[in-house]
Amino acid sequence: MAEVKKGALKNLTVSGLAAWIEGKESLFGPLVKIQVAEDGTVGTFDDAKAPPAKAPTVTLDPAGTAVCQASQTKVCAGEAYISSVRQKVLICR
Amino acid sequence: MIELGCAAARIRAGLGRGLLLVALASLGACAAFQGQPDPVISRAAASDPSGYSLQRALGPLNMTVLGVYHSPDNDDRCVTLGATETRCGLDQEQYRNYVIGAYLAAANDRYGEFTRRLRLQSRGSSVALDIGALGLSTGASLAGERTANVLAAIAAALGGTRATLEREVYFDRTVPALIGAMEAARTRLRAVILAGLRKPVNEYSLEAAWTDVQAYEAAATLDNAVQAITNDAANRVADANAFAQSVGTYTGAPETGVAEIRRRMTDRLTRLRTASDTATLKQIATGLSLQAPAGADADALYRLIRDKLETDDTLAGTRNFARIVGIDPGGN
Repeated sequence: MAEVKKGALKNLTVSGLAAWIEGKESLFGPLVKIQVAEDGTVGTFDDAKAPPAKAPTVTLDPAGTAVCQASQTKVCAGEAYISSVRQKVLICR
Repeated sequence: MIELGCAAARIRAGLGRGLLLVALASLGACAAFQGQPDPVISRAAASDPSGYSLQRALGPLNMTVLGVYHSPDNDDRCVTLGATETRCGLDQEQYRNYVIGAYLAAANDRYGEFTRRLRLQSRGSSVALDIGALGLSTGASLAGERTANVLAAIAAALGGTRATLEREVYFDRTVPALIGAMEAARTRLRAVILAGLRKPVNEYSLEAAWTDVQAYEAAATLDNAVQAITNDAANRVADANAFAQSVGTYTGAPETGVAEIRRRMTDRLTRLRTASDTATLKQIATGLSLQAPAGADADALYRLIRDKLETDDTLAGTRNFARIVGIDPGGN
């Protein structure tokens, strides 16, 4: 797996982060990991795979117990800056 | 009145001298840090010619220990602590494990004492200085003028010493980290030794084990701990820099519709790469005002173009890229 790391600004909203992920996936393949760094959110993408056809969804998951909807599959869970606040998120597709 | 004044002065001077003594006694408690545990084998014990002891035999791995180790297995004479040059019926492996086990136990004991003392010293130094400074200042206020000047001068000097010792306070705070670093190094080496002691002597001889236990004992020094922490910090900085470099710039979300066009562009570029169509990829790169490196293969050209496509998050800009890549930009 060839990995590519990309950074998102801290001030993105939930929908903004979802759009950012989709924008990067369309060039760098599916998201595999999301984490926070000093300057913002960092997404890791699997460069060896084709961009996913479906857009991802981002859900705030402060308790770490959220699950994807029945029609979705889990992409990954991690931490991200949402409106400049560090939060736990669940990414589904 | 004069007599009363003299008596008061004598009492004041006495109190000043008393406090000075307390202050100096307190400062005497500011012992220097010891950088490592006491050695298992002291130089004196190792060179003491009187009588045989395991401790003495273990000093420099001398010919007595090696001679015993290499003595025949069937020589089971065993003269107790007085003098023995046989393994008392132990085979080489048992003897090796006995010697190394005894040394490890002694090293652990010294290390335990060392860390206990380290913790106590780190807590004691600052307190002693506080008491010392307080004693001198108070003594100066109670003593006669000449003595007071001397005490005040010492207290002032102590103020400078305090700055030095404040550095020790920082050291106090790092003591747990230093002990942690020593523990980590010791645990690694102990695992090597214990794994070795399960091997036969032709794979892990007493000499090899001896080298490892000496390294184990040497691992417990503040110098090594500081070095390990410094290296660890340097590695973390390097990792952080590498991470930051790999992420590059932080961007916002693209405009609506950009991702869909990018997917189709990526699909076309991937097909060209798979087909090794460098001519078309070069043409696209040129259309995007990119300078393709000489001899760039299809994969390098693909990545060059893809990185360019990432630079514009606007729908208009992405549509323009799409035309150059050779796909329908839509929206017309």
